[in-house]
Amino acid sequence: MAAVALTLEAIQMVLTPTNLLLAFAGVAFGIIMGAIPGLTATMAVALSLPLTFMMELETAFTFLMAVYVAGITGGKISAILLCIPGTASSVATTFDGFPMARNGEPERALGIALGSSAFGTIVGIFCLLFIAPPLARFALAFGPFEFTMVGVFALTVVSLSRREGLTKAFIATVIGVMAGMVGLSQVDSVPRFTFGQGYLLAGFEILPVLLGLYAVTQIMLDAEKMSITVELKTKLKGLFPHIRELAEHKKNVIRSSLIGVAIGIIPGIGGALANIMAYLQAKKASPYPEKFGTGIPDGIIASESANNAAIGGALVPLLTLGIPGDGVSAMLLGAFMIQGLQPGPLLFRDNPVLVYSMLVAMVVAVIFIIIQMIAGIRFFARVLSLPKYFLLPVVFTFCALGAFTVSGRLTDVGVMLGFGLLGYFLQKNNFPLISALLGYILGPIIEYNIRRALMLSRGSFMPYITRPISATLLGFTLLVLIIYFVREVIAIKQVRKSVSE
Amino acid sequence: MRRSFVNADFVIAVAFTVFAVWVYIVARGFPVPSWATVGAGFVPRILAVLLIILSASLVLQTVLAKKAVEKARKTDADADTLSEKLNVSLEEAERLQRSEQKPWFFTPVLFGVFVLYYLSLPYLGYFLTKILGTTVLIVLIGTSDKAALRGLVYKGFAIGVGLSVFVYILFQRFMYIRLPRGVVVRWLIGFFS
Repeated sequence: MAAVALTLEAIQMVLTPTNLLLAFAGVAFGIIMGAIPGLTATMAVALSLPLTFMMELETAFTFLMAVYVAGITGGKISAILLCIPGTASSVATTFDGFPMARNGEPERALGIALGSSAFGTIVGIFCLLFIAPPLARFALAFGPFEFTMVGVFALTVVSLSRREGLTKAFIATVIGVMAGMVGLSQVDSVPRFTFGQGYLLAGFEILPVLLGLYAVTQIMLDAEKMSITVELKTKLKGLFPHIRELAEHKKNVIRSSLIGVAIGIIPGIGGALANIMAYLQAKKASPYPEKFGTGIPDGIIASESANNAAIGGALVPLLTLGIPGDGVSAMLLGAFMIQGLQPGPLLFRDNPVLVYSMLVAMVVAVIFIIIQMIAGIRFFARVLSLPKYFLLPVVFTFCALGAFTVSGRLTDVGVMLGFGLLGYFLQKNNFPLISALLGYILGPIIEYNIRRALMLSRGSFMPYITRPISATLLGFTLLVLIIYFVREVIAIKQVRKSVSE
Repeated sequence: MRRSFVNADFVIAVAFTVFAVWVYIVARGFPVPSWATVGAGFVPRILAVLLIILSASLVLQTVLAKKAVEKARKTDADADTLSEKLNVSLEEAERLQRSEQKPWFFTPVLFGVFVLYYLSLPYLGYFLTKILGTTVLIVLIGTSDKAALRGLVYKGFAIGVGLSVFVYILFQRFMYIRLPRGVVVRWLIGFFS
């Protein structure tokens, strides 16, 4: 009953003219950013953050959730029309979406993808609604030992999932954690690595770091590639979500959405892997796997329902434990911090209406996405032809504006540039950025809890093993590491065997 | 021919090791409060040790990878021709990749413009910097597209002015955020008033 009352209150909060107008604008902005290859949903949310400073709490999150959902959904447009995924979440959409568009059915491909995205988002919201509250209640029992292990587990899983290799992922994590150590220490206010500079005492503000690592790095990487102006030859007519076609593939839709939610919950993986996993599962379960890749609806449905369902999954660790699982949820964590809030189990206890408002905002976003895609698909498709040399400078100047507005200090623009350079250097040398970013965010949380834990245990590490939840999390961390190394050894042996043969 | 183990990863690993040693030394100087079991230097020291171990592992991987290549070259008679073929295809791939990339000095110049943008903010103010910065960046990034080069300065300038008006209305009028006016602009206003 409490959930129904909270939902009704959240609906009342979200459905105001200002919120609806901002959600509408956020959806348009998100679709455009998601559609343009190189400009991701993460960047869209990062650029939107400065606009939320002066907003009411619910208004800010209604706007951000609209940008987030639309950013993921927008990735399908270029994936289907150009065979270039707008975001990593839409890679598998190209496998069948582009062939279907090439076969003369671009509207059908976009329509199926739109319906699948909408359905996936709704499934993600329902799963979040059922998983998050009990998990948050359970997490209320967590102490510093448990929170340390949650952070360590998240960082380990994120590093293990990187294709750049474990060593580089761990190095990037350590660098990120070290960046988070700058400033006054949390427990005893000792100035660390500040070089006597007053502005470093509070550490680096989160927004300039996020903008630097994600946006400035991406701008530099995109700008150094030769500009290619895309000419869209496809002429689009009407677009509508193919509900009947989705109903015919209901098993695929539900399975892919659930895969999306499950993968979205795992830190550091999210929609980028969910769409591919769902596609592979759909192919495996299909009576006609040989047709995959030729332009059949099954592949589009699998990919698009999974990547949007992963949004609900990614919000689970963020809202219940305060642990962001990917780049976008790290941006949302930044939004919480800007508003003076700390996501985690206490958020559900102290501010449940906000959590439900975020879910209602996602439903509103889905409705607006469908409306805007039906009405404006020709416009969104034309946006794909916008040259990069117009977009990138505009994005950069908005990043600088965002970094400045966070605390009104020009120094933060310099901090943003510094982290942009660090991100560029890491990315160029195959050190995963997400590991550095999550290290920066989770590092201080882990350190704070380690120090609190050691004060409680008078310097003993034993409670990490003797407390059941902490020990379980430690066991999981060791288990994933062992599995990783065993798989690596098997892979090396197989390569050696094939070479000797 | 014996190949050197020194590559980008090797240099980075050595640089990270030096950095980690510095962090460790600095962190040793942080005080431990009487009421706490560990001080502010505890976690940074653990991280520094971890970074040294990881950097050593990266160096080891670099050396082992190179040794494996050397061994394969020596033991397999066909390896040389295979590797030659591979090298050719790799070179070809690299050449193709390079043709899609702008010259090596592009990114330092681009970052230099970013830094200039930042440094000129206190002097020229937000709006003037935005107009000039947008124009320069559009021309700089757009120079690869020769067909678009004509009129790029005017287009860049127009976009810069348009964005400045948009930001002024949104941030100063609606959100009441004061954007830096700049020393030069303030002086000019004072001079003409």
